[in-house]
Amino acid sequence: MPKKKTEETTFEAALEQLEIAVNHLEEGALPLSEALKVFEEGLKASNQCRSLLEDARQQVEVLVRDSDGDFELVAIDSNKGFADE
Amino acid sequence: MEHPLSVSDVTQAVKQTLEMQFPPMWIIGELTSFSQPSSGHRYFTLSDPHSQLRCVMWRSRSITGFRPTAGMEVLAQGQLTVYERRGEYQFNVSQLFPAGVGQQLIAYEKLKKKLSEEGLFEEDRKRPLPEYPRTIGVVTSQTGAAFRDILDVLKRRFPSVRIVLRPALVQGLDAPEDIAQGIVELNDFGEVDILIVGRGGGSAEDLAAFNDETVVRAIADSMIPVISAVGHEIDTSLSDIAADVRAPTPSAAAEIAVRDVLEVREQVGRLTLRTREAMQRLLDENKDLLEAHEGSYGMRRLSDLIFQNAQHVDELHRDLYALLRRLFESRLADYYRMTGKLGSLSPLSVLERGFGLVQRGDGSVVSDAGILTPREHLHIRFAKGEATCRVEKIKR
Repeated sequence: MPKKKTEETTFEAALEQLEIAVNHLEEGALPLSEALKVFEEGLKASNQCRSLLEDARQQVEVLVRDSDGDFELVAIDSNKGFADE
Repeated sequence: MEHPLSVSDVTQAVKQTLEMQFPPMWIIGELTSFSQPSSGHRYFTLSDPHSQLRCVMWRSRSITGFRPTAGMEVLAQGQLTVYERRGEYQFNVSQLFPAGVGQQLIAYEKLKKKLSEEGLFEEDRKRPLPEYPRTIGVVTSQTGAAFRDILDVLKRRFPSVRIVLRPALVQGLDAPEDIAQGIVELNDFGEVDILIVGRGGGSAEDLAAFNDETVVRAIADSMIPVISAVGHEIDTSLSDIAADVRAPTPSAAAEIAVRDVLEVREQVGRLTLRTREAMQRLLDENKDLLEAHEGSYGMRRLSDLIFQNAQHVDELHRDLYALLRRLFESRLADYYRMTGKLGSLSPLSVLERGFGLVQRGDGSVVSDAGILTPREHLHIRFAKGEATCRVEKIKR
């Protein structure tokens, strides 16, 4: 897999966290204090999922490689500037 | 003299030899004397400057994309056979193309076979697509309808996904190199989770780049999973076969690349609800447990113990208070006794009974009126307060 930015939580990771919380709680074998902790983590993951899904702006960029072989990204407006083929 | 053979025997022998010796083949030549009687079968001759070959193409075989006419260069695929009635050999044609198209097709089949033997199309080479890609790389024409369609679908289904386009020529001689380079660059760029490579629909020639070896190899070598999106319905391009997932159109590729955000939201909602419900159940169970404990003998013993102790503490408090009170009262009595004795000695107690203490200006107490002078000021102290007076008359 290509390298990824690791500093932000990915949707996949947050969703997995939420699923883990549900499974732990549904097993029902946790002591109450532990369960509360898992519950809080589950809600936190749920909020993360929602906020990651809410970002509604479409980000469109064009990849340009310069003569040094470095990459440059040029943002384009996805709502205009297209002609039919 | 040997035993003579019948004509049929010889013809059969020739037929067998011929058919076994010559596997199905492609033959290129000029089409001459084409005819199609009412039976629907086609009879024609392929020629070159030195030779002629009789051909037959049965009605069940279709000719697509062109009308065969005399004088045309064509490419025919088929099997050599013998028409026994006439004792003539002929070419039994299964496919017929104009020479240019036919050659492309031969090249296609040849390349397909070669790459297939190399294992490029193996199923176990196919990588699964990530379910929630954050960035989608696209290799296509920036101005094409294909890119527009991809953007529209992605915006509708998963607006937060990031799209990085590597613009590429999709037709013409330079297209294959450019497309392959685009795939490599998006791999090098490193932030892309899924690649969409393709273009909108077009003629066989327009789509030729996606059958080019350079492109097909670039797709197979990509580290990032590739969805091919070459707009056509019938033919399958080699890009499609090499890609991890094949989509019939660019829009379809975008549909495959991302889940519908509404579905995903619903899933998150369901999971969240299950989390709450599970927690609520746990709390309810624990509450029941607590209530059950409250009724138990152990619990009653415990609360009994607490009450008993409380009672004991109260008793101790009461005793202590009584003790303190007694102590205090005896002290108070002592105090009164002491102050009573002092009181009878104090001049102040005399004042209480209505006497006044008379002092002169220098503070000396007056007990003889004879020492006073008229108009002198005197101070009189009472039990409460004092007064300053003037002497009016003196009696000795």
